[in-house]
Amino acid sequence: MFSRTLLKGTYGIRNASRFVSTKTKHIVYEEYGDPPKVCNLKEALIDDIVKENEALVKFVAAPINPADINQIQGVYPVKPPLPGVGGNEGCGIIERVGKSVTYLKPGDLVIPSQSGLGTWRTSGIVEASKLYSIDKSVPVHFAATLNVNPPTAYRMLKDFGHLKPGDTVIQNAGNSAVGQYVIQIARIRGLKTVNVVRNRPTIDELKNELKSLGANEVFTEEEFAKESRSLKNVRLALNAVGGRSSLMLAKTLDDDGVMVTYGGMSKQPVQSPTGAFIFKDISLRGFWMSHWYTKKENAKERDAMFKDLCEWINAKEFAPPKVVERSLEQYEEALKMAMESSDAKQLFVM
Amino acid sequence: MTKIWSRCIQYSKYGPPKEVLTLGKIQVDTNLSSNQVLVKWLASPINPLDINKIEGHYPVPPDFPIIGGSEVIGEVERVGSDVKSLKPGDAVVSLGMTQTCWSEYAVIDETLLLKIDKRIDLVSAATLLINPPTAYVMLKEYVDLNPGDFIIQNASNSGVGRSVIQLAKAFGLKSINLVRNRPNIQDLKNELHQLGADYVFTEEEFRANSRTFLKSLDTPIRLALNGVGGKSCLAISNALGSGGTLVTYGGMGKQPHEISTSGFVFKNIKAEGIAITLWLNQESQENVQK
Repeated sequence: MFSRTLLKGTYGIRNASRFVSTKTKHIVYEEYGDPPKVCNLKEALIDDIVKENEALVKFVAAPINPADINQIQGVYPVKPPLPGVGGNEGCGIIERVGKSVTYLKPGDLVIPSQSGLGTWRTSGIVEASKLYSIDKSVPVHFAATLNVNPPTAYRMLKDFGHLKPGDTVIQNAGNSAVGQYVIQIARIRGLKTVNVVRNRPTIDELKNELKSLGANEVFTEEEFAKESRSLKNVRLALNAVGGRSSLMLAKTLDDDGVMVTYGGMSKQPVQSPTGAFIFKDISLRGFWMSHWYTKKENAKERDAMFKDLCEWINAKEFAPPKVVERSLEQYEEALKMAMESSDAKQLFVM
Repeated sequence: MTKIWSRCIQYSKYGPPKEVLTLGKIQVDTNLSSNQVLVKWLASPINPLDINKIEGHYPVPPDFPIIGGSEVIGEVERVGSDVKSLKPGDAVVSLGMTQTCWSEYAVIDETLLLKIDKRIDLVSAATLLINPPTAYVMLKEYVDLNPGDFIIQNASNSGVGRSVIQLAKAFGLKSINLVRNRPNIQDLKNELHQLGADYVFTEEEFRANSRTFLKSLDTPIRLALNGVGGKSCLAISNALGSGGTLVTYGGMGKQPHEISTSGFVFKNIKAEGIAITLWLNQESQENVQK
């Protein structure tokens, strides 16, 4: 159950003082392990007074992503100190800013500017530099899931393969969140997509759904094994599976083609054929969105990217994210569901 | 119009070399045009790539019958009227895989021949064009390495592998060399150390001790050279530090190359390939001569 704990330190929760305090609820873990077991919902008090460079944020919504699960399990490279508040993505509204904060003001809609923020909570005081303000008119479900998946799709299509309208991009995990944004952004940019998905009983429905988002071709892994020989002009392959699936993608690449790996759902190493390396001169690269955000030289590109994404959202170019809304109190079930299936995102709504 | 007979080893279909190669005779037309050279070939090795070509793994249109071989050394017999850079008696090696290597005589365009110093012994000269340049380009063109830097490779006992060991030593780099285990492994290790290898491990030894070993190095490894594929590729690519590069030049293990996902995502590893013949064809004559 809840406990009135006063926590100091990293998450900006200090001793209640003579100033007015707000109650905050947060999902916290004090050791690494199985998320439904090691996470707890706790209450605390925080000051309303913020330091010069800080901001008081009221969190509105925050999803459970695979990286969040890995972080709690202790297997993710980004490890904020324990005890930690879960969640690396989400959106919130600024309530108050410190004296030297010029780029944020009360009422702004913000998302994290880096991972490790701890977003599964109702309020928090954080360094203002860890927040990024976006267009206020972006609907909550989009804003809460704007930081990781759409930018991953956007950047991979922009930074690799020197793509021009008419070029073909091939990907596995076509049904994942990133996969669906790849399909949609490719459609907007005049690129063709060939999408490989795992077979399932509802495969026809899935194919129709992805085609309605703009997918040019959708194959199961088995179908792709037969069809891949006839593919031409494939400049870029996006891999989130590894193993045999990545091997098949690599084989379709044209001269100088690139395969970018951003995930490893099969838990198997990425595979590439010898011929592709030495006859087609392909390269294999990796991409990590969190790391891209940490580089100061990307600041301008980041602004341009979010401008595009928000415009596309407001112009209804993207299908609404599939989410299951949860209260923080439902954290145990939300975590369990997040670990079992990936059809819809578990989204804490505060 | 003079023709001479030239014996040659050729194949008229793809398949296992022992089955499809035949010893034959062709007629070589020795009426040279102004920029051609008549060469007598003296020696040509069998490289793994020759086996692969005969088995049909190379994307070369099958213009049968094909004479085997990829590199060769010979002596100039006669030159055409416009040939300035070569004269009879010169020692030459053939660039660009002229498809005449396993034969006795050939008529070759002047631009496809490279004159070499006669003092180089026959065996070295005959094996100059595929393996040493592959090693050279891999060590020079992918990562800016400094003396004292580490490189790691598998297939260290191969033609390319041995060239890598020797060139790495010449460039002041430290080499970590993986080989397959075998009886008398100590003899092989000694031999490679003699060539200049800094560390020699069997694949098994490396996998058992890599963590401790890698911790003991004073700089991260930035270049891994892979001629095998499969789990061997996984082992050497996992040894790379952040931002490191894996270059693949062959696949002796006949298995796809494996690289860990976390290597790509979290360590920003790059994996590239090299086909030395493409490089030789595309690069400027200047770079190639160097």
